Amino acid sequence: MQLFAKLDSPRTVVLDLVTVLVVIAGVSVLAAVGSSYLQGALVIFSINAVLVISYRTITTMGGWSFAHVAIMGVGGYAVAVLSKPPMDIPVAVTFALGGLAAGLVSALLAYPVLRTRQYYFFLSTFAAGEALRQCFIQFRQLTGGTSGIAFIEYPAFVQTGDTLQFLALVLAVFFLLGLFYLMFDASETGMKIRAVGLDETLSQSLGMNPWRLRALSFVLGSVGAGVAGGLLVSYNGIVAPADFSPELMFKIVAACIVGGTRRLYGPILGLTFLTIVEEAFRGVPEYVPLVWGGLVLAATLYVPNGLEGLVDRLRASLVRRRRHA
Amino acid sequence: MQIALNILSLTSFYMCFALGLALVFGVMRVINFAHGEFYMLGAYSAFLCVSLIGPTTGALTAYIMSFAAAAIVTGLLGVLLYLVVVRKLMDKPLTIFIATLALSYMLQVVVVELFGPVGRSLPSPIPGIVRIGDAILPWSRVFVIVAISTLSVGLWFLLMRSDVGRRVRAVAQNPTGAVLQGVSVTRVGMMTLVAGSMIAGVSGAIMAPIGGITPFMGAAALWKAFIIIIVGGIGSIWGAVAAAFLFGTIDTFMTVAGAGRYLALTNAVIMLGVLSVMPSGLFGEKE
Repeated sequence: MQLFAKLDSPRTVVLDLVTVLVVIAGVSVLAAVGSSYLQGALVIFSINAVLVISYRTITTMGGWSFAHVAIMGVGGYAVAVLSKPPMDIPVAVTFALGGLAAGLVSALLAYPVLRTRQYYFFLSTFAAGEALRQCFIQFRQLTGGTSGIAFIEYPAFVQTGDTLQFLALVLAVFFLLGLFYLMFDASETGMKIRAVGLDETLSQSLGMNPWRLRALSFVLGSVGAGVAGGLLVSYNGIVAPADFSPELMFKIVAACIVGGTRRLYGPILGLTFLTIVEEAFRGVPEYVPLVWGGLVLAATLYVPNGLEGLVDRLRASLVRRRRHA
Repeated sequence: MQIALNILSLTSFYMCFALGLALVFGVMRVINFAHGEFYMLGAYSAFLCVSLIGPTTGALTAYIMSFAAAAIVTGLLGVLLYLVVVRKLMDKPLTIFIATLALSYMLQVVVVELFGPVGRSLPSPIPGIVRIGDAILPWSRVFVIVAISTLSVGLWFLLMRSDVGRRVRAVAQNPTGAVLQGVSVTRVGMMTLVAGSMIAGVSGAIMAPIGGITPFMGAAALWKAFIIIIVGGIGSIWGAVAAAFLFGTIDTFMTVAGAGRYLALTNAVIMLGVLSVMPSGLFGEKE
């Protein structure tokens, strides 16, 4: 089928797997030699990495959600509320429950939001996400309002205060979710979802159910976000609406724009790049949005397919040169 | 009566914000995320104008003049935005959205650096209150209602009764058809974007004495504007006006009933409900 021919060969799955492993190896090496500050930054980076790969799964269906970070917040708040009295559920269990809660909320959102396309989709997800965030602020009895909920613990098997052990946990989650997402991406369903993302009408005429496929990728991506939210909350020890700011959403979208989303390494590359920039401007954090904004603006104007596109162009020119030689 | 006045006041506030956004989207299918920041810059222009020339000309004159200043500042930004970003990315709606989102963060940082992160306030140039029956309304709010109604009616006349407006509507309905009739789509597009930006700036200036001025005021109001234009039907200016009135009414009644904290949730549920039944909004056209 011509539509499937546009999709990728299985070879790229190996590339995705390599990406996941390279991230884990890179983070572990850096954490082993780095200062405690660097270790903390790596935990945040790894949590964001979970976030971007889950986000990429949503983008494969052709829609760029702006509610991802708010849905991550659902996971975070679920962990905070469930792990404290009166529920007192072990933190490790609440991570999974947080993912489920995020999946549930996204499933509820999916019906209205997925009826829209393109600009309507950005706007409705943006508004839905912002409304969710307002709920975190307004439902004070449950969420603690703007000050949030404090004293959230690490899972029982991670020693309190041990950043390295927590980092190992985050990397394990990253590995499992990364494996899950890339297998899903390579499966027949994942392929169908990408086909829907490329051409919805054509896919429908080939007997696929676009709505169900899009909803599936939206919900599965959101589950990853919920788990990432739980990890972040547990690491910070506190959850507050400010953790799930539009700035973080911008960072995730920017990572995907700067890096590209066709393969798994694109968003990771973008995220790495943005994180390095962020750390370089650590002394003047107020300028970080300015620099990110400038980078994203430049990327959208001059590098349409992101760093991935650059890599592709580089490879194409190498191949050409080899042929001429 | 008091409730009716409050509804009127809130509706005009929502309208001024959503109007420019709906205009730009309706004609060019471009969402300007930096719209909120243009609004914020309008308010800061008003603040600068009143504090610089206010002492010599009197606050009211300076306030009125600041509308022109805000329009010039945001109009120029609109031109820049069109030339640098929109023209190049015309056929990629997502990319424009992201690029203007990036721009909005950049503008926020610039304003924080220039004026500080703490908000400013502009003393109302029209003090005092007016009594209508047993209801009271500050004069400054009356002025806002009148100014924004004038702006809306002016826009309506421009669109429906002028030659320029006819061209704009032609491009909105069918760009290809408009080109065949000798309408320059690029010129109309640039004009619309500039007009939308100027509306944002002037609204910011008009609202400056009421809402307070902070670098983040635009972003805070933007999601509400998005909900309004989605419910109204993206691209339909009259739909946006109707939705502004709808939310003005709902929000006023909810606040009166003491349920103000559930506003965001209710608004979102209404939006999602409308989307479930009518994906293109109450007055939007099918695409």
